[in-house]
Amino acid sequence: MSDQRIISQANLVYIEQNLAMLRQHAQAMSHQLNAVEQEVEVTRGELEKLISEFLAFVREDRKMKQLQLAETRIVKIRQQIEKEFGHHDEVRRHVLGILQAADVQLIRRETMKTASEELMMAAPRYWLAPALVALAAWIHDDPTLANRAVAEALRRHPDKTCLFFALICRRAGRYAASLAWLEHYFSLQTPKALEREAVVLVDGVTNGVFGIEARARTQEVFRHWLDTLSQDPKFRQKQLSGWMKAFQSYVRQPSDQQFPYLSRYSPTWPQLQKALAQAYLHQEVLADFQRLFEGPIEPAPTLVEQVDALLEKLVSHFDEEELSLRREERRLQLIIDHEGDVDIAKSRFDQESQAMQHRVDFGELLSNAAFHPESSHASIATRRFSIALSRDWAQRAHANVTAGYRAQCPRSIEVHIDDWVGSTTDGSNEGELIESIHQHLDSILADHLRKNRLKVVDWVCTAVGFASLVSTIWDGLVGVAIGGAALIGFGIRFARIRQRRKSVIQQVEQARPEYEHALRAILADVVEYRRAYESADKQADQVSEFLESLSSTDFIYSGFDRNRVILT
Amino acid sequence: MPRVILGGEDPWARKRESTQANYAAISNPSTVFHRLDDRRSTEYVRALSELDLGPGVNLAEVVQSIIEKIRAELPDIELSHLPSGIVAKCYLGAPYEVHTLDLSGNIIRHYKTFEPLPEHLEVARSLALHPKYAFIEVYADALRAVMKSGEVAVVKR
Repeated sequence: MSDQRIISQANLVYIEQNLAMLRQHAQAMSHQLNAVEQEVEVTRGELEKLISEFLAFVREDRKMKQLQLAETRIVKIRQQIEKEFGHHDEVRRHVLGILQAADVQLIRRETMKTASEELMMAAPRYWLAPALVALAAWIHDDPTLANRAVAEALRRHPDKTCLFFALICRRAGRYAASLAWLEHYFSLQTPKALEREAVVLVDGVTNGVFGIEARARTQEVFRHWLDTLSQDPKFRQKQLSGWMKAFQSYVRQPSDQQFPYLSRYSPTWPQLQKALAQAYLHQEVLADFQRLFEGPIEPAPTLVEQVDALLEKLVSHFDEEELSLRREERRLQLIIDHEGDVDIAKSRFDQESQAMQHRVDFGELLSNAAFHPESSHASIATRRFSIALSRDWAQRAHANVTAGYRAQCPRSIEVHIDDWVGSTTDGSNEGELIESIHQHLDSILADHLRKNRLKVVDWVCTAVGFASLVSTIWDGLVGVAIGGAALIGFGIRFARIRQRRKSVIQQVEQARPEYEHALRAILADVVEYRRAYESADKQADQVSEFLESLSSTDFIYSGFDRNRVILT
Repeated sequence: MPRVILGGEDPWARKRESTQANYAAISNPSTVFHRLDDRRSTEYVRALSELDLGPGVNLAEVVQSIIEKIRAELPDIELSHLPSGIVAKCYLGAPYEVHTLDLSGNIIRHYKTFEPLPEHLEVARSLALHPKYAFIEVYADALRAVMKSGEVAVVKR
């Protein structure tokens, strides 16, 4: 009995010492792990920063190279335009030169005639060369040559020639002749396939270049064209899609930082973000349209200057032979304008390329004038007029886009905080959600405690240990060894489980206020989101009212007319 | 947009009649579909906005009358192209949120908040709750949100 007591005391001290050492080792290991984890975090942060800096460098380098390339290429393209079509420029300059020289009677008729005939020889196939000869012949009163030259110009390009002489006759104050040229121009047109220079006609109407009669007739033709085109459902659909696309181009993505908790904790965020981005388009559209429609348009001081500006536009920007090179020039110019950002330049060019097609229908012509004034060469007055004339499509497209995002905006917003899932519509169910969080954490705690308790095997070990120690009375050292090992095992497991349970309880109790804080922040974001969305959405009515107030007749300038229009 | 001032004729009635006459002669399906995007009449909007029926109303009669109104509004549209259901905001008060007219089953039903609608009508719920729209017509390929003014906004599905 005395031997048994001595061994037992010695073993217990030994077990306690080992347990204490194990605890110390575990703590030391835990500290080391924490330190390593911190270092990994720091390294990861630095690596991410390095990656983002590297990517930014690559992007910048690519942009710089694209910019340099575009700058070099645009010079080549311009040289090619100059080489292939430089003589066109000379003819163009002579048109206005001859007109202005004739106004002030500073050059001899012979000089005018010789110059125009030389250019006729220098510019084969170009429609403006015979038109210039006709102009010079008309000025020096040679009807035979003028008629022959006009016939040749009409053969080369009837549409441009008609518009050209309609403007020339208007410049000379010959209203009936100008109207006759316009009538001939209209007789050549089909509203489904107008050439791009038709925008000059719209410019002429909106800038008050044509006389009262010609203006009224042109408006009548525009209405007829639109009525004809509107009979075709495909045209209606195309116009509607075009306007919807135009409105969609105003969509700006809201930043994740605007609603940081919602974006972090809600899987519904992408849909919410999309709906809000679309709702913001109203204020963008309104601001843009108000900027466009606000303020008077400064007309040219005299009718002659206004007509000259249109003539210059007509002869300079719409020649099909130059179109492919001009398109390339525009593409390169966009890359230069966006400092080498090829993606933005490409997207802008794709939008504009519709305006650079050879033939467009009248609806496209109006849309191009409204949204791509640079590439369609439309004046501000024409932009206003085009939008007003397309009002019905614009209203429908706006209503469709608005209904589209309203239908998509989620009513119920799902929230995930770790494994907890809840949902809210407007953030008003805070109490219910907090209760749900506590129930969730309680169930996690219960689950972990259930997993971290002594199991049957532990109690069996203990029983075996005690039984072995008791049996040492008969079996001696073998029983002591088995019993001691079983009890040590039990002791280690017991200490570990107790530690784990304590840690789980501590973690869950720490998590409760953190979850509550995150939830309150998310709900605050939800309230802010709904407020921002409703406020942005309400502006749809302002856009509708604005579009409703537009009338195309309000955007036609009549300041050059000395006569009054009498309405009966 | 023309407005009725101090009563008088519905300014859109004549245009609508002429449009309907035009479409009646057209057999092109895409044209027929565009007909669905046209403005709805005041009577039609009023009739379909009054589905908040209390007790003591003969539902079968109401449903039949509404179906007749839809047929009268869209006379040139084949039955298969008519809406499969109507969803509108319910004004019976809480807990009711929306009501539906399921044209395939000829049933009017009121739904409470968070009570799910049949799958083909659920997509129209958000729009129906928006104050701008009187009701939503649900089609196989689109939703048509009809405003109180009769204007139609189309959402492709």
